[in-house]
Amino acid sequence: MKLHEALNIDLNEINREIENLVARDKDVPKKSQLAQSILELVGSGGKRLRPLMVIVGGRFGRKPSGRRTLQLSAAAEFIHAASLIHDDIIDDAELRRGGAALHVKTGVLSAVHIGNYMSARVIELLSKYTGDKNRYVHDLSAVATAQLCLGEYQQMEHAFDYNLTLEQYLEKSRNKTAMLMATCLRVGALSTESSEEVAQLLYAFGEALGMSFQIQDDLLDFTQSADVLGKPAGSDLRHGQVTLPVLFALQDPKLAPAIRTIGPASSEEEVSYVLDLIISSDALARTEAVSQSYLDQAAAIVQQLSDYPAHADLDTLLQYFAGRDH
Amino acid sequence: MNRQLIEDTFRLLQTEMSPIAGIQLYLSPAECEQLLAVLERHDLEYDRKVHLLGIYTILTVAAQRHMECVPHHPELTRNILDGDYLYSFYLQFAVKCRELDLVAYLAPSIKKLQIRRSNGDFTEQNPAAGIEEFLLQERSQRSRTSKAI
Repeated sequence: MKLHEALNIDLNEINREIENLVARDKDVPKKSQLAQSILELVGSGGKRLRPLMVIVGGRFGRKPSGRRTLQLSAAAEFIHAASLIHDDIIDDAELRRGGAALHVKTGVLSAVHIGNYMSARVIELLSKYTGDKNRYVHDLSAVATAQLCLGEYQQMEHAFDYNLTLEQYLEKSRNKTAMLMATCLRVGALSTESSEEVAQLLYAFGEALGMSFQIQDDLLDFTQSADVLGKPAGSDLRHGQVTLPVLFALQDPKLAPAIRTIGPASSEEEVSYVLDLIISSDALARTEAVSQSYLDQAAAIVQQLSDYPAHADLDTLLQYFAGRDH
Repeated sequence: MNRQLIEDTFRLLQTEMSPIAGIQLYLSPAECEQLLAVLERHDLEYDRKVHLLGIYTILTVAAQRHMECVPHHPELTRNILDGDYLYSFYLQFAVKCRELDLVAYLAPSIKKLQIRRSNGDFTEQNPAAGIEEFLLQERSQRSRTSKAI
């Protein structure tokens, strides 16, 4: 069963809302490159994890979910998709979801501004919710997006930095991935007038889930084939991203010297050799254990929310994230 | 007076921005002057002038950084990230300064700027004009309200 089915969420309704963000924008001609590129990108797949998290968050409020929750869920996907457009330029990635990356089709400068349009459209849409009590609607565009950028800065600053500490790695992962997921659950909850306490618990749940998600993503780079990943295996190592498996492997004095030789000019053979070293060490098992500890933290928060019928949906999310590598 | 205002604004922005981003904001005197002239035409408290000049600065620099995103530029990654960070910091800063009405007012014009630039239209657009229109609208609304009372 697919995640949205297990959560009893109408994915078509969310997809329509996402598409309508651009299709119903009177300032955007329907046949324009901008409209077509965005519709192609958002229509090309994606798991819609962030919109689903907004909707699940909305099940913890005092009021039923309505238009606002749906709009926030679409906004979450738009913000995520905009970040993917810019990420692909930064990573010089030519493919996205099996097709040409947007900047390959439109050129870099145009693609940067198409991503900007998506962010600006979200702010325009959500600006209609005025007043102090509605300030939270901007958390996705302000706080979560700023943190995402900070995670990217940290990643850039620490490329090929084999002295990166565990704390620095965790902070980067929190900024880059976990905070957006946490914010999705929180704004969903606030959109249906949950208490601040519940919104905070959901934020903590999303943060733990997001940390596990990023760590699993780091693991997949070692364990999955290029076909499954949609990019060459080991590309994190190749691009100088010192992920958790690398950090653990660096603690082994027999492996560290070889890992530290990897730099921007390393050959494919050198990278493959180090990849094999890391795979055959205990680094992957230790990484998996850290991922599991975050899932355990998330499970403890579900227990705290067990008075709410929707806590079962958190369990569903938890199970999905736990089985992501299978 | 204006020099003090500019210094106070830049100091506030540097305090509010994350040091991780490592962005040094800079506007030329001519760029500052466009908004300073607007601020002089309105009766505003000093702190509000600082906030509005801050918003103007963030938006101007964000747009500039993203205009420098060309392939093979040695600072391509930094220009993308700086622009992205500044656009989200703009919203954070505006929320903190309680300028969300201005955010709502400027939102359509910022969006249209992105549409034009994605289409290869790089005509300059200065946010000072939008801020002035907002202040005029605000003044006329306040005047209507006080007459009604």
